[in-house]
Amino acid sequence: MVNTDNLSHEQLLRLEIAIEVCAAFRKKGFEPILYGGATVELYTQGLYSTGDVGLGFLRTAPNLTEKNEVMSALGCRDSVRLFKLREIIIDLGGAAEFYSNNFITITTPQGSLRLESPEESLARRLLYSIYPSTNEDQLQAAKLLIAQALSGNLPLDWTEARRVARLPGFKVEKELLQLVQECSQKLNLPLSDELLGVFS
Amino acid sequence: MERVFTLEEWEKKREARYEVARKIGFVQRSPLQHQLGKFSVKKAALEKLYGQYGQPISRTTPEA
Repeated sequence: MVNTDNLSHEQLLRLEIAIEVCAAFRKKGFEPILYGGATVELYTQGLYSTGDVGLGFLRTAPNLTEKNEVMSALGCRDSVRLFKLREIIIDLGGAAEFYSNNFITITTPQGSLRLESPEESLARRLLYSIYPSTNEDQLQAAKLLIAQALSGNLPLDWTEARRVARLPGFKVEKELLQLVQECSQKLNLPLSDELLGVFS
Repeated sequence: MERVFTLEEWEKKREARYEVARKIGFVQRSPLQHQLGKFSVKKAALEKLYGQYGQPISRTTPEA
């Protein structure tokens, strides 16, 4: 049995730390985005856990010196990419390539956190579920994202999801449609006219 | 189109998300498995470009 109370506590701690790190980089003129598995975790609540905080940067990324200046001011040891803040691993990437600007922002009194768009997150899970080889975990993560969107728990723009899925870097439109139908049947949620229109 | 939520608004749907995840099926991966997943994608992409032993693939390279 999974202890969801502990999971919530840990997720909130990671969120809090991510917001703190983002605020520190914003002061220096950088725009960090939470991406990868960390966003899937927040979007799905499906026990897809990476345990870390993965941050990439929109447009310009800080260089190594700038990264270490910011992170050491927060109390971290110097490092190249992985930092530890209050026992949470922060994976600081470089300038990230985002195919969708439909970011989701979560605001708190302490600051805000921008998340990779759920549409791009979905296209990535679909891609990783079939390439380089089939991956059941990634497939399940894609199903979870779709199921949350169909249930109204995740704001997802299906037109944008289809656009990203069709991009040459993904080519997962067929898989997207299949999973949407599968999840809709499993949840007993008929596809809306709007959604049928997007995939017609 | 950027969407903005307060943490409170976001957290209100936590239970609903959990219920949907329970119906569809959970995923559980450790951070290490996640990292291995990342590297396997990178490894496959690099092998495609450079071949298994780090050398560019050439059609003129004789078969071993």
